[in-house]
Amino acid sequence: MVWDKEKIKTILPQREPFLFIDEVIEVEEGKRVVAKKYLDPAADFFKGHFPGNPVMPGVLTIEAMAQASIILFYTAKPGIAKTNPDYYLTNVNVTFKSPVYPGDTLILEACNFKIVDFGGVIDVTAKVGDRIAATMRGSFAVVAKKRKNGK
Amino acid sequence: MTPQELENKMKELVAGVIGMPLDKLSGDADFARDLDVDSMKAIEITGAIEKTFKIIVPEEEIRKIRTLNQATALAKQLLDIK
Repeated sequence: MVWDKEKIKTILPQREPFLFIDEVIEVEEGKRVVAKKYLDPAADFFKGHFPGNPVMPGVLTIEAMAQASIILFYTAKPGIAKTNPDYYLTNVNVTFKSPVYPGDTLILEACNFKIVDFGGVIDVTAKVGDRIAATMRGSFAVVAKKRKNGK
Repeated sequence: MTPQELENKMKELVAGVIGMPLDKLSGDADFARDLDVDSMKAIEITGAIEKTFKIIVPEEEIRKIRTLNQATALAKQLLDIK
């Protein structure tokens, strides 16, 4: 393990039950990160998606890939990331290739297509074992916080 | 690579990223005003240029580039193609 959940929480603003990275297992600073997420069969979203036939919602796979992208941004631009900016997903081009089930562990590999101070374009592959679940090119904007406590 | 080859490749790259037919893309069209290229799309165009030509585009140049012709001129400069 390279980074545990406590370290991840210093980077990602998301928290349980919406934190979709458990650990970061590989880091090539500014170039590539690989992260893992174990999908607990008891997670609430499996109860409704779908009853008797639980499968990971694709939008949550996108969220997991976006969170891996933020971690990659941190490794490329730590000075900016440490100011705890807001991250806005602006565009995703995603292809779902195979379903993800309760008990699977998602392996999220995020690669830098281009990262700048105010955002980035990242290529992410989500796998379960050697099987590709989804691929995504996503872009996100990085904006300094202007508000506090929701005001 | 000749200047013409670079110009053609640049046009292909930009047209591909913004999803526009080659024959509709004018070199002096304003990215933001005429082609609906926002800052995120500009990052993607920059990444495509960097990967294709194996160059690094200085970050401060990204916001200055307004047209395909300007982007091509910068690529020529970075690749030292005259």
